[in-house]
Amino acid sequence: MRGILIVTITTLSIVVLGISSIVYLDKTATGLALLLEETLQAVQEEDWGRAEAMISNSLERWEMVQRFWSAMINHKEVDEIRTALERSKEYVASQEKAAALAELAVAKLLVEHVPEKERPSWSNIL
Amino acid sequence: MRVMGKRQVGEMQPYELVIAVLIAELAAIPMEDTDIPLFNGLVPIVVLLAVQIGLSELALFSERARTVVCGTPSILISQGEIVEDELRKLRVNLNDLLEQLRNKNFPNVKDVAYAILETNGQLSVIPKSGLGPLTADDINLHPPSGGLPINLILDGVVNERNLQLAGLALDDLVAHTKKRGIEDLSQVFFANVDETGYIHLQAKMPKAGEER
Repeated sequence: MRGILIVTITTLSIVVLGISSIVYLDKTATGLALLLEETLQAVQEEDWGRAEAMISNSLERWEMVQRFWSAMINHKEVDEIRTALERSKEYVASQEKAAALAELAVAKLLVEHVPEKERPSWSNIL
Repeated sequence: MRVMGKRQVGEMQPYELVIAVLIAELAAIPMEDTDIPLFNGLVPIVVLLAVQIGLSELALFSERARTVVCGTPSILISQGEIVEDELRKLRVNLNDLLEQLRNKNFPNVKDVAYAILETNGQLSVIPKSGLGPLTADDINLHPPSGGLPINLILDGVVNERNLQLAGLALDDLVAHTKKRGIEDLSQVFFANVDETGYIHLQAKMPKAGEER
């Protein structure tokens, strides 16, 4: 009986923890991707002032998010996102449109890929 | 591993062995690669542990589940005859069977009534009647039960709980050790008491340069 209780509590805790982490990843990734999308638009319109403000916002948001992401996802992915964001910041600061657009697109893709990869879908399981 | 139970590796069911190997492998992953969070190793370990406990609980309550999870024992020798079909089915060759029988002190197959390959891979051998070891009952003897001895002193440290369990007072123990020429309980290496009340004592060896 004690064994069944342990198994039930453990299974429920893991399910709850798993669902919460997926929801958190999804929510934070969507927020960050939205910021990066707005930065992309600002760069497209060559509104460099707005683009700089947006990329700074993205980096600030990333600093908050990455502490929890590091506990859940592979640190290599965290490092890749950080690198892409830092590169984007420099490209935006030096107003290099093509490079900034490419790097921001990469950062956005990497951010959106994380919750997709963690989701319990058939493609991920198989 | 302790949560999984007290069975030794050689006595594990096949699924338990697989889970033990998987857990060891999973525990090594976050240690080998610092890029992988500790949770990525811990969560599957906990899941496997839960699966193991769940399966063993299931096997405890349901015989059908036990059959599915652990399998069924196979009779390799029945009424003194080797069951060829079973040997072939289990891919056990005659040499392996004979070796196992010899390990169990049965050098001759004709002495064996039944040999059963248990689900944990161990071979149980039942000798033919009259060929088993002689027991006290066979010759109508009824020796007194030795009972379970209770340890009282281990390496000079008195176990108060066991002393109480044995219905002895500390003073009784001190008096007993003095009678045996040991002045201090801390000088007793090992002491236990059996069901008849006999206290077995062993004094500590004197250290080099020390006189007894």
